[in-house]
Amino acid sequence: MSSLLDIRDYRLDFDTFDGAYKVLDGIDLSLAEGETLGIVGETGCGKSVLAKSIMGLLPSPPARVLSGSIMFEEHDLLKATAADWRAIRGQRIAMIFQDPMTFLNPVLTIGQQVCDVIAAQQGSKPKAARLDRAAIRAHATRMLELVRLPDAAELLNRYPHQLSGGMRQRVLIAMALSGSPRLLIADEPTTALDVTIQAQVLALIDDLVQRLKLAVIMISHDLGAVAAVCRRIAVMYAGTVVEDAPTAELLARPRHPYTKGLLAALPDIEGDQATLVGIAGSIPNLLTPPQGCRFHPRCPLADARCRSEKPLLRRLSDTHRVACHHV
Amino acid sequence: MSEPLLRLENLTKHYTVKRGSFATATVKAVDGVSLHVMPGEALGIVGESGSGKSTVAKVLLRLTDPTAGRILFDGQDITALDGDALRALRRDMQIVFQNPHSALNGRHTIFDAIAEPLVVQDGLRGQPLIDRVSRLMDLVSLPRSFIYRYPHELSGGQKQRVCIARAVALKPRLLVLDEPTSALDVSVQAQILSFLKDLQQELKLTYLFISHNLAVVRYLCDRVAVMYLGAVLEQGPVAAVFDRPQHPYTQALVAAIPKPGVPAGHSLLGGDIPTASRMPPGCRFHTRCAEAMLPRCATDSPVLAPLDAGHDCACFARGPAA
Amino acid sequence: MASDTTSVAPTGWRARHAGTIRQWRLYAHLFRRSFSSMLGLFLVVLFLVLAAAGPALAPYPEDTMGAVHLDNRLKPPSLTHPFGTDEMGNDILSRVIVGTRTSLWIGLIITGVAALIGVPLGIFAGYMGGRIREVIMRITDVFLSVPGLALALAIVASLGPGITNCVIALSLVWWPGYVRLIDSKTLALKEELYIEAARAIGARTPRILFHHILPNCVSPLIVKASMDMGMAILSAASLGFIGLGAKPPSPEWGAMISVARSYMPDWWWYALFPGLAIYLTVLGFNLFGDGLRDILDPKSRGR
Repeated sequence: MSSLLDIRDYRLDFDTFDGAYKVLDGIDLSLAEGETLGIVGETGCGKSVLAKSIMGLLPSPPARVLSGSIMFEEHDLLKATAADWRAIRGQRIAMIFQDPMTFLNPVLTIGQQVCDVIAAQQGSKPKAARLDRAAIRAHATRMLELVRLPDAAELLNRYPHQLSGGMRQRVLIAMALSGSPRLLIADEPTTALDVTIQAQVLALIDDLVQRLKLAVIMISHDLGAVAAVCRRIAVMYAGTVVEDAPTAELLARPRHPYTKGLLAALPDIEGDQATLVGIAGSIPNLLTPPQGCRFHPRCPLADARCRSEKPLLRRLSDTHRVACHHV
Repeated sequence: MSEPLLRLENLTKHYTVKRGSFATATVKAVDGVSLHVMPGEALGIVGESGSGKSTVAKVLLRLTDPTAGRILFDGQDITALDGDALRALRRDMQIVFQNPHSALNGRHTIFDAIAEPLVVQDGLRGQPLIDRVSRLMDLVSLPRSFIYRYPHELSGGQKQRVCIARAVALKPRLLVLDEPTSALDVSVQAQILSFLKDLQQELKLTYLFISHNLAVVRYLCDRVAVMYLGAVLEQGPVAAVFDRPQHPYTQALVAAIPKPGVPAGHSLLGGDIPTASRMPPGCRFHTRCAEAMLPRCATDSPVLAPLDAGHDCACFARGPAA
Repeated sequence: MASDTTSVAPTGWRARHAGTIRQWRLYAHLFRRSFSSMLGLFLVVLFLVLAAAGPALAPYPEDTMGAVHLDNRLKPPSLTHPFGTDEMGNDILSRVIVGTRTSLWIGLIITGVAALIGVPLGIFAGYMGGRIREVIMRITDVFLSVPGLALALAIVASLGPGITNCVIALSLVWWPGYVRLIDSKTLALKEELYIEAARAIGARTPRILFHHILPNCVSPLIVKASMDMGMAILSAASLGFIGLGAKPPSPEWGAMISVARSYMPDWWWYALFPGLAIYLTVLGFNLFGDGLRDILDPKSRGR
């Protein structure tokens, strides 16, 4: 299985007035062609920073890469130039975000914005392959139909505020897919939506993955939403990947104490729960992250080794990796 | 059976909004809601955005005036209270807001925030005030070393504990919790939820818990009311409503929760939530309802009717009326 | 992190104000990074020092009180008179230095009175809303629709020329900007959740205004006031220039230029140095205000 994306020992700091925040600490992750990977973690675990790294969207400063590589289709994205990025963003890798409204310009119609995105992609194509205006508009209509928006042709003339939250997120998905990317990064795509609308959008993403053979990285704090779409889940904590396993296996047999804690903290709609167990303590300050395993101050299993030695992400099987001394 | 601590009778809140330069529209944010909460009980209100659940909270706390209907607290009609009588009532009913980051004034220390109700209502000052604030911080498990810190130095969960300390400072009888954990991480949410459950026992509080998260309501509440576009569609004990949902909307809500192992898109509710200013005629849910087959659904508005003990549902296709 | 787990309240001033101290250190750090802010700070401090110690620093203090040295008239800049002398033979450097204090008073009183009138009106308008706000804001609009300097001219003309009347007139036309600023800030703050939280606790309106809204208005107020200092000094100098403000021989920059204009261009130093003083003061306060806005406005703050 050839990998589409391969992140190796990626370490990143954020330089601030207080000092350097050690935001990502040796990330190792890879993604095969057409694979769906969920990245789950709580606030400050670095999941969005990782996504932005893959898209080359991190401003530097404050971001500072310490080590590692992000190989995408045999190219190291950390060494990509501005011209490389123009050919990659939108056409090889695309991204959708949490709040669709902030990514749509309120004074332009949906059609203008979708067409702008498609027109911008023509620049990096050979002259003969470029689309003219009518073809761009036709392509825009096809894209809106692809994401199951009704009356696509008519919708092109509407303004973002005339659309509901769920429809706006579909428009953004259409824009993201208009350049036929191989990898779609979805950063909390349903967090701002209501449950019934979230279910629609998740079903759409799932359907697109199947039909277009897209590789997807879906980032969320909601384990349930990620599990509904992704075949594999990586759990992040304080800038490290602590566990990486197929979805069903991760949910049924979590191995890392943090993953176990996360699952135990989820309230369940079915059946009466007498108690709900949170994870004691709070996330560490990444200015002075804990020595050794970054989870040890909150971990029930922590011992002397955990406090001094950082556990590596070890293979338990072909597909299951975990970073804990006690597994 | 004892008297309810809080009773809402046909509570209605309409807003007038401008549409363009001249035209106005009426938004029926809350449209004839009747509810009651027994002493010591936890009542959940669930619904999606635009369901009016937060407006119910604001109206019953008299932070905004109802258009019609009555609010009875401990048997007393508080719908028209004002001035000092209303201020005195605030001792008995308090609220914890959804977003602890914006519910605390960034220029006030934790001490200022927790002390404010004690200063405003009891005129407390000096050492007795410091002692009370310290005890409240112990109650919500905040280290005393935080007392002179500013909100931006605390994590989300710690800030929410400050908000809870502030809300229980005056020993209220009713605590309204408006999505208190939806801005927090799951592991912190679990801490706060189990803490809220203990606190209810310890202080003998009555909760009105507003949330869009059904599982959270199931954990914390005894009864639940499901709201959609300003009205209650179903209410009853949590086990009955969530295990055997009767109203098509409740059924869709329960089915929409993503579950591992169940492919996304299983049992979808089509369409979008209509806006409260363009309310469909007839049953407010019929535009999205998979079962809206009765002719009455498009013309008449169903009212809550009992199905069995304490379980009510507003649907023509359910219950004895069907 | 160790202090987080202690269960005793901190004692001692430093421990209690650790957060505030860190905040100020951050402000200082951000301010220091910008050259223009530091230049502004330097000019403002220089101005304040000269205003505070003016008569003591002036080489010829008696020249500022209307002395006459006819043998020394209109001498170009030299070592004994670095800024040259004027038509009465007075040392221009001394007069510029002593004029600083007059300018500082003018600036402080004008912005102070304007803020004193404008802030309460703005807070009241913004918080009360409805008809009260309409009335206050329409009166403000009337004042804003007449050019400030023209209105001040009319007021001075009716009160009679003089530095006191000039300050009164400028104060009366200066406040509408503060009403606008504080009104819009209050409107935004009113929607904040913590204001609603205070109401839910039963806080009365004055408490909400003074404990919650006013402290949050302080940052924009400081920024505007520091920029207005320069503008107020400039306006007062303008009135002095056209003969409606301070009267010669009192050492006021505008009045000095007013006399000096008839000696242009041959005796250029006479107009240049008071003009430069006005220019640097206005520039200093503007750069300083800009720098303050950069650190106090969270939207433009990069950590």
